[in-house]
Amino acid sequence: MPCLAYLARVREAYPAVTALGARLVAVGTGSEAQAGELAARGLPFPCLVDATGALYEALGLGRVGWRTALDPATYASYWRAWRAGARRGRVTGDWRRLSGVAVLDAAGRLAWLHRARTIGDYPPVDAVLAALRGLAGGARPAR
Amino acid sequence: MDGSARGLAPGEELPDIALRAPDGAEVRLAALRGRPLVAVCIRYYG
Repeated sequence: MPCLAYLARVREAYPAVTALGARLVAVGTGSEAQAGELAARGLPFPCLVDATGALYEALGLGRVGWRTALDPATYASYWRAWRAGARRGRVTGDWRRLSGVAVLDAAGRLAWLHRARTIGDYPPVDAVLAALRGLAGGARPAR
Repeated sequence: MDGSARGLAPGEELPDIALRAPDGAEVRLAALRGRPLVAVCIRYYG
């Protein structure tokens, strides 16, 4: 549910992303049908599926464990997402994957990365845009 | 966070990973090179 709330914020920022000459894709481990349903609701960027989790592994994104489940920040993020109008749907894919946002340069090299520490831990969209602007100056990962 | 792998370091090249579009078509990350790319990896789409 926090994932959908974040994608809604990303949608608002998408024109700024493209204005910086960048592409943007959403990636999830869930079903292709579910990705298609979400894209059909008006997301302007591709919603892709990583069925094997290969991208998550390459980026070193973590997994949900008992500490994550007990983290108050997890429940706070769900509460914020619910207040923003997001509602939980069917869980598909590998629900234990934690999220992350990566910025790659035009050659496919990692320029900036936010690895979630808990469920719903997404970076401010402004930080992503700042990383894109900093590519020419050599942006560095936040974590 | 639990069980984090090491993952890429700054400046390292992301491997060419095959993803799937909703229609089942394969999308390779290498095909998206040539412009900066933001990859928003969420937990699931539901």
